[in-house]
Amino acid sequence: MKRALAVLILSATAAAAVPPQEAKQGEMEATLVAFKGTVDVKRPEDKDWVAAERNMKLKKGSEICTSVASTATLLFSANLKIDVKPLTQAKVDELAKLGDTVNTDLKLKFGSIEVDIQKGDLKSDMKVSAPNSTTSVSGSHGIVRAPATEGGCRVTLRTTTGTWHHDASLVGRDLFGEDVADNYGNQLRDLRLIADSHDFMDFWGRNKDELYQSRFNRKAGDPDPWDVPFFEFVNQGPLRERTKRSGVLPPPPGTP
Amino acid sequence: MKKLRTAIAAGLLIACAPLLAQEKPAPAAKEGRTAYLRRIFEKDRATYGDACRAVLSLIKQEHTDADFGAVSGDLSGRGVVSPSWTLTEPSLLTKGTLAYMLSQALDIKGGLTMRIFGVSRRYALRECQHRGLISGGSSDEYVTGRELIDVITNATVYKEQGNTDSQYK
Repeated sequence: MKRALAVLILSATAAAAVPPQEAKQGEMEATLVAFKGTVDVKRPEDKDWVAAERNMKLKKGSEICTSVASTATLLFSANLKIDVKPLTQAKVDELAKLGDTVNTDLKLKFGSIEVDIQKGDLKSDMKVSAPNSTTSVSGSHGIVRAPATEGGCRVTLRTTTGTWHHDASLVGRDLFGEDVADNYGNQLRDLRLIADSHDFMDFWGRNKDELYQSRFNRKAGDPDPWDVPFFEFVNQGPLRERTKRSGVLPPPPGTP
Repeated sequence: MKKLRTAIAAGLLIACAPLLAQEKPAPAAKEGRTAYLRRIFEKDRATYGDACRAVLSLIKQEHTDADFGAVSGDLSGRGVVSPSWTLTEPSLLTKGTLAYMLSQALDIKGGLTMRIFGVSRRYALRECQHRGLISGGSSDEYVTGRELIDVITNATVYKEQGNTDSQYK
């Protein structure tokens, strides 16, 4: 009886001495390395929003909110830095280290963030979720913006690669170079100039051809707006808009 | 008999204690400094008071929590709001009013018509739409809280670099 009791006590002590589970070991914390202006933070243990302080630790579930003319810099790992722009609210949905990869999921309610991933010992699997789309940034530098209205998302990734997934339309696309996703037609006008040399998509995941086709009331699949013989020279010849435009801008950096 | 009355009175008092406690107004919790932003985000209709504080914050480059009278007076002194307006703090904000305030705050001179005839809400809205500060709508259309946040974000970028073609706006 005594022996059994001793075994029970010993096993209970050993169980208590075992370190936390493996998943727990992988949990990381982001550090608020710098901020400017009015920045509030709400960590899981906080009842309400509190003023940000330098070197504050933000673990999974923490939220950050910046006011007018205010910015914050978060260091997720030695080689993953995020700048939170003014008038932004974001939440750290996932922050964990699995093997040699740091998994990060940042949920952007509204506003903009700038992701800066440097090369390092750890790989970074960075996801930015806007209200109805998700962007994976796997390169070095990118900006993701989620407007407060309509829940859209605008992505600008520089010298980087990534993927963009739209939840509603279930469209997924690879991003390369200066790629842009947007949900406002009036903002797309500025991007049409670079549409030939850059991959391009709108809010619904349509590429440039799909977008242009939807702008003209004509048969599907026809790339030219004036489908009559008289305009053939203009449509297909040297005066063709796309032919003229293609030489204007250099190809994006990193184009093979 | 006296004991019975006392017992009944004590029983009633105990029974009513939670009700009495509920009637007392709870002390207002001091909201965080960015709470205004989250409050505006949830609003279906932004108010003139929201716009006044947002535009003054944009001008001063820091959020202001001053009362409406002080904010309104400050904006009036700067010529951002028209003295002829009779709007109060809870008045619903229209796109025309917001555009007028923005064009004055950002010193947008406008085109020929605006220069000749002066700033009006309708011309100001056209100008703000042209510059990408406000999207769509008419001057009498109400502004939602989320739209107000987007407009102020665009205006911040415009103030920094003179246009809204920013990659991070």
